[in-house]
Amino acid sequence: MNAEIHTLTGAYAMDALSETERVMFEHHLAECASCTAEVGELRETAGRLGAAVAVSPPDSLRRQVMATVRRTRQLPPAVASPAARRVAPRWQVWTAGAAAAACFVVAVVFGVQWASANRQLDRGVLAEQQLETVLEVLSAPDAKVATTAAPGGGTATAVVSQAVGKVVFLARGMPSLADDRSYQLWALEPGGARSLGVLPAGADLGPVAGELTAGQTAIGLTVEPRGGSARPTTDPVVLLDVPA
Amino acid sequence: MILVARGDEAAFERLYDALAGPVLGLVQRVLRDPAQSEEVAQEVLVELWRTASRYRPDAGSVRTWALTLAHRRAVDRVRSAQASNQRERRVAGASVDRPFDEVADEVAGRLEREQVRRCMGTLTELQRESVVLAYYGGYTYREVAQLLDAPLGTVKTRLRDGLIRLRDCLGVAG
Repeated sequence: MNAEIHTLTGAYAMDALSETERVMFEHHLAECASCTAEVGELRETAGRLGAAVAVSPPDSLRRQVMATVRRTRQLPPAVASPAARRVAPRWQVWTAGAAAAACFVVAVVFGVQWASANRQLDRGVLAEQQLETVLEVLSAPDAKVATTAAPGGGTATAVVSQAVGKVVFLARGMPSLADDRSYQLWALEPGGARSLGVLPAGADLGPVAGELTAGQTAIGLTVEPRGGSARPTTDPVVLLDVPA
Repeated sequence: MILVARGDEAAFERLYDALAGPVLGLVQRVLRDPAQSEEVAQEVLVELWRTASRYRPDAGSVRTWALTLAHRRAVDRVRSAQASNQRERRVAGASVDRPFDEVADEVAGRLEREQVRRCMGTLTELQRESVVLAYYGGYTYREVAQLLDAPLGTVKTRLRDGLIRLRDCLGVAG
């Protein structure tokens, strides 16, 4: 790395370069990983300086922004750049081909079934109904299964059947939450997010069954205040696209 | 952010609530003119909506993404050709020892402000002046050097080591 050009990271992070210098420096950035990392940190630092001069915005700004947003089309994701693409889970047909995930779900579901058959659970009746739905989805001829790792640890699995019109979700080994937080499951649809339920505390979640609606694009798991929210208030920790 | 990228207006309103204050505050700090500042802040906030799908979490927080864009837009406005006349006057009339905490009508982020003020205090005078003029003033490092009557290379270096010291003081994670 060229030491001379490297000293420009500070000026670059604060937009203090001339246009020509900026273009040259960005050219350099593309091939200097340590500069890119430093610029990232210095931008984050500059952002703190920016946040320190926050003001209360007038209501007129909110009205104008929301009105403009309503008539502004959003850019599609930059699929040409692999780095920017969200890794889509691979959905597999619910057959022997998807053996590992399938066996896992079956084992969990039958484990739950066994537990509910052998003990009087508080939510016994509800659990029975859920189980029936779960088994219905798992036995559907068009069932598909996908598994994804949650960033903070844990694995989430979903099984979808368009014929049954339902999705089954379960997760294992999820990070435990503070007492005042709950995991909540959502169906993400064009009109917004619809709650599929707040999950009882624990590292192992579900299986939970939820209705699929036409146009539902994904199911997501978020961390919400205990008892759940009317709408998601955080970004999903797990997001699984629903195959058409 | 994922919901915003999917066109969820309610999610965007929450994003607006979190970011409109910092975005407008920063733009106003650089541009000074309230009407122009609101115009630029509006542009920036709508741009966040428009480009939400391009946000990459691995490149920094949403707030940094928003404030980076806000700063660049404010600086672009300052440096645009139409403003060139005004700008010469700005450079000529700028006061270096403008107090750092002069914005009066802030409500949120008191703790954040205190922390930034404290960390600003750990910089050398030249570091602090360079950072304040470049970031809050929107000047290029060449203009900063001229204003401070300091060598170019020195200002370039002070901008970097000043920010690095702030980074360490503010505990910005790498």
